[in-house]
Amino acid sequence: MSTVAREGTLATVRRAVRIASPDERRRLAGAAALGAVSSLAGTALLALSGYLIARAAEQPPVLSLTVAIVCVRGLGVLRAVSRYAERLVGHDAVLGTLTRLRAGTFAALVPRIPGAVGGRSSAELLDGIVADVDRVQDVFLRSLAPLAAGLLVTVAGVVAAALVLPAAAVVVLVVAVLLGAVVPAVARRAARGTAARLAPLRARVVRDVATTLDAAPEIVMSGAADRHAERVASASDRLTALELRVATRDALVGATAVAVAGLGTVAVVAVALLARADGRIGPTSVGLLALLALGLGEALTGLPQAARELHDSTDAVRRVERLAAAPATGGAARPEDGTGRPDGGVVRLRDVAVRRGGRTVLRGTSMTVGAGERVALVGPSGVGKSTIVDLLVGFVDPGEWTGEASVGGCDLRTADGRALRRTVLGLPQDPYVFDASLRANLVLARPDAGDDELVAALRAVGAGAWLAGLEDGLDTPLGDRGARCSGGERQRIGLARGVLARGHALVLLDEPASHLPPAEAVEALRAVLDAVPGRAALIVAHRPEEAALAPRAVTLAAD
Amino acid sequence: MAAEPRRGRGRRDLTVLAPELRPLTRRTAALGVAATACTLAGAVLLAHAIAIGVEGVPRTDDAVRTLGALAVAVLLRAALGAAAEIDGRRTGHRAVAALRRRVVVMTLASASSGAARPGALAATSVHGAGALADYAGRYVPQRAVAGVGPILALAAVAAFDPLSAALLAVAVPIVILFLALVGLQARDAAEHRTAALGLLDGHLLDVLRGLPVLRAFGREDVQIRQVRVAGESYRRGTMAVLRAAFLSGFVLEFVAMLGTALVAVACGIRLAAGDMAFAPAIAALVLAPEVFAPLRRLGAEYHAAAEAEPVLRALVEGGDRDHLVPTGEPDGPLPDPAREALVLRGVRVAAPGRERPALDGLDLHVAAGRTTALVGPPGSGKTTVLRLLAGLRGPDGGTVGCGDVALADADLDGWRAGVAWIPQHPVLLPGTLRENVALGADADDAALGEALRAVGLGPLLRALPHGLDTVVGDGGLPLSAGERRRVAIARAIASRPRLVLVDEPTANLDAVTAAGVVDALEHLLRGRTAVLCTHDSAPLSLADEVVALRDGRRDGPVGPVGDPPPGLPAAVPATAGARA
Repeated sequence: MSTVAREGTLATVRRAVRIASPDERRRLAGAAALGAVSSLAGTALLALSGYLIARAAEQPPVLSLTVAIVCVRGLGVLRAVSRYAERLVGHDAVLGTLTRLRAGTFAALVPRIPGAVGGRSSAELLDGIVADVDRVQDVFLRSLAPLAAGLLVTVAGVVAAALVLPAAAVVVLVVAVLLGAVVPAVARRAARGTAARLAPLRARVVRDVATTLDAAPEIVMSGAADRHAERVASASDRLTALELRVATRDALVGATAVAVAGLGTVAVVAVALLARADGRIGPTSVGLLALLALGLGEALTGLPQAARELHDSTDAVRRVERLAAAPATGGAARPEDGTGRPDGGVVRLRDVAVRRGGRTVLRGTSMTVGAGERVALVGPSGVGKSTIVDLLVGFVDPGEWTGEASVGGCDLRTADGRALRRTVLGLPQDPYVFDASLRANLVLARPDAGDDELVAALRAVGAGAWLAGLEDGLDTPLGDRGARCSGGERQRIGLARGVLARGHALVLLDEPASHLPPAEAVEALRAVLDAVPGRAALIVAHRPEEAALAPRAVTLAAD
Repeated sequence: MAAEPRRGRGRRDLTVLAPELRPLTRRTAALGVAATACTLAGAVLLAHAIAIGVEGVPRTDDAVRTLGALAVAVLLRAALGAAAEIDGRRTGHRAVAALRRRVVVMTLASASSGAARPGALAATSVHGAGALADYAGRYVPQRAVAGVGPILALAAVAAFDPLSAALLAVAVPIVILFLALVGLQARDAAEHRTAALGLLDGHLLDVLRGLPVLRAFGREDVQIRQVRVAGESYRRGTMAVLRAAFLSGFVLEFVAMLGTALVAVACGIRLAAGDMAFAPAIAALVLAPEVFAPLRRLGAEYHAAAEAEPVLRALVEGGDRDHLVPTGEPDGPLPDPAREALVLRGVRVAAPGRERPALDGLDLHVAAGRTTALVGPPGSGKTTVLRLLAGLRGPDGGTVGCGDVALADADLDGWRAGVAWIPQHPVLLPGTLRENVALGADADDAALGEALRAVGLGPLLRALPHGLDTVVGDGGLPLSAGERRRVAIARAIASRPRLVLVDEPTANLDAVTAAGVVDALEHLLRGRTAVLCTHDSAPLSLADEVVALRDGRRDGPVGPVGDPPPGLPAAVPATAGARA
């Protein structure tokens, strides 16, 4: 039935295991073994206690019980100690694996952002990927380790039961198969479909609630508040109904596991009593088998959950892999891989056109920027001004554009992206502000800059008054995505970075001052332009006074 | 070794935050306790079955009866356990659904805008349900079981063998002491891990989002190293906490094991000496682990409460709003802003969490049939004035009126129906172009088409194969920033308003697009009473009067067009602004 899926899961598990280093793999295997020993000791402890107490009832000389008593104590200590060791070793190894996977995933994503990855926008993707990376540890801690322990306990339990009473061994085997394979398979079958419906419904409700939070005044003013609330409520109710169904199903699967394990114990005791009635086994064997069954039931109840985890967490592994392997939009070699190094910042574009996602975002355009020259780029929204900026810093995939483009005499198709960005500095309209101090947000533009230079840069772009009002000055934390700054302040940080940056032959100003009052915008732009003598500039202009910063303007027409 | 357990937080009872959880969690807890009673009954029956087999050759009817009862106990336990979990999870999901509804309803009731992070709150209102379901479905019943289970189990042991019960009764306080340590430890460990992982995830997400900037400045390799370093330090810190938690767990398990072993030895010795019958001995032995089991399981469920709390907190806070949209007097007069002037006298509006009020004694006169522009830096109170005029909130001091009627005494529903509101970032609701332009107004297609043509969207409409039925916005036809604003203006035209309020119509638009938006606005504002906020100069050509605001007050005189107040450059010469 689900052989294909099963093979897929196993193959994924093998790949997931390979994420761990050989050393970590050894330690993970060690942890799984310790877990198995602990489960085994717990089960043996119970079985032996059953034997012991039944034997004691026969009133043998107390000395003859000593060996069993010592064993029981030893097993008790072994169970506790090996459980402790398993947790320590397993967590330490898995955290190491996770650390490497995070760094690796990050490195794999570097050449792909900005841009769409595997057809998903980066915002949507990033939220998922971090959670998925965390989820990978469950492959080891929550599924492989308990499954391995379950397997070992089953084998040991079947062998032990077979030695005493073969019929009991058959019962144990049936219970293990039910819990390890049948129940999870049935549960997965029942879950098929709901997962596919849950995700879009959740996305819809998130979007509806976010729209409400975004647009409440408009909705109220248009008199549509009640209708809108009803709309949200109906989607929300459908989601809740589906979630309730899923919750019920999951709880029923858990209850089935408990019932199967418990009835397994009942069945073992039943065959033991039958055998005892026939005189095939003695009283001590009854005690041993009954408590062995009890111990096995406890050890195996978690199997369906572990099997399910295996399935769910390998899904996360696949998503992480798919992402790391996904070709960045076009699939051709990224400029990152090139070897060409631009010499100077002279830009030549001849009949360059860019298509992204099946849409033309830049029509055939030709233009030049000479050495040290300042050129304004004007034209209506959507005509492709920002696309030219992206192209010149190597953020457009070679498969997405046609024509001829070079920077510093180096063809953009063969340019080394890093070398290109050491030559060309792009300042975006919405500069990202990190959840860090103001200082950290600035020094990334020039790691060796002193505080006085940072302050001077902020003053140059008109952020002097803002800085003076900050209690902690450069140490002020700016919050998640710069939440503690206004849009204008964020832009000033971006502009200050442009003032600080050194070594570039060309700076691209992609409306980096659009949220500032016009006079201050011009002054801040001028500060960036004058920061490095001889640095050429391409100014995507928004207002006429900004275009006037350059002696020459290139106009992109809408048609 | 172990860090001091944190004090002062006490038990995690989230019902304090959300009272709607209370009666239902009580039922869930009762179901959990009933399941535990079945577990104990099962243990007693199992012991009896073993005794049947050990004490002699079993009689069939006795064996069948006992095993039948045991099977029933097992099934009942599974069913009650499932019932507790289902009941709890349903409570959790329903609570989140109720809070989500409250967030939506309250946001609409207060017409509030600018939630700090709308996306994050919306995501929590959906994805947080799992955490709360875990809390109500697993933690709550387990907490009740941990309180009652050990006592029930002790009582059951005492019924068979008082000496064993006494031995266990000595061990239980020790275990509870360790549980207190482990519980707090485990909770701290879980919290620490969650918090550290949250930080780590936050950091990773932060650098991923900021990758374009990092790459622009060639800092991506440094960040790859930092991601690794942060991960390593997280691992070291986490392992230190986990070691302590695991060690306490080890001691707990060890003491529990020791307690059971004591019972086994005490029973075994008396059995061997012939001082005790087999049946009570095996019953005590099978029941003994059940004294400790509920306590141990509780530690494993602590994380559920730790994860549910921030979700609940965020949603409860998200549904809290200070100011509801005022209702006015439903039977009050309905002044007509198209004929009578709008007047603000000494208006004060407090801004919670800020030093200065949003408006501080503002006087304003908006003439009927004319367009008044409010100019001033961000935070000067322009948008607050619009909210007052729209009737979305009342002033904390002073009066807002139209003619000689104060809005507080007016029929505000009727008032708002006559006002068109064009926000800075018009939002497209998920739906068709028709729904987005009509938005509640009962305008026919001809009127809607005309409104769209009036704002320059005629060519777009003609190019759409489905016309007004085209789905726009998220998942549909993407509209540019300029097009969105034009749709909002068309929306206003279609509603034939008595008063138009426009917030920053050209912010973040390029000159060409901004000019188009101004043209579209001109069509709307001509002859209407309107208030327009801007810090751009482009829309000022539409204004009959310009009023400057600063810090919630008037800044400079009211001037005719072409005489903007200081701080607002009407036109900056292309060569001006030289910096020293």
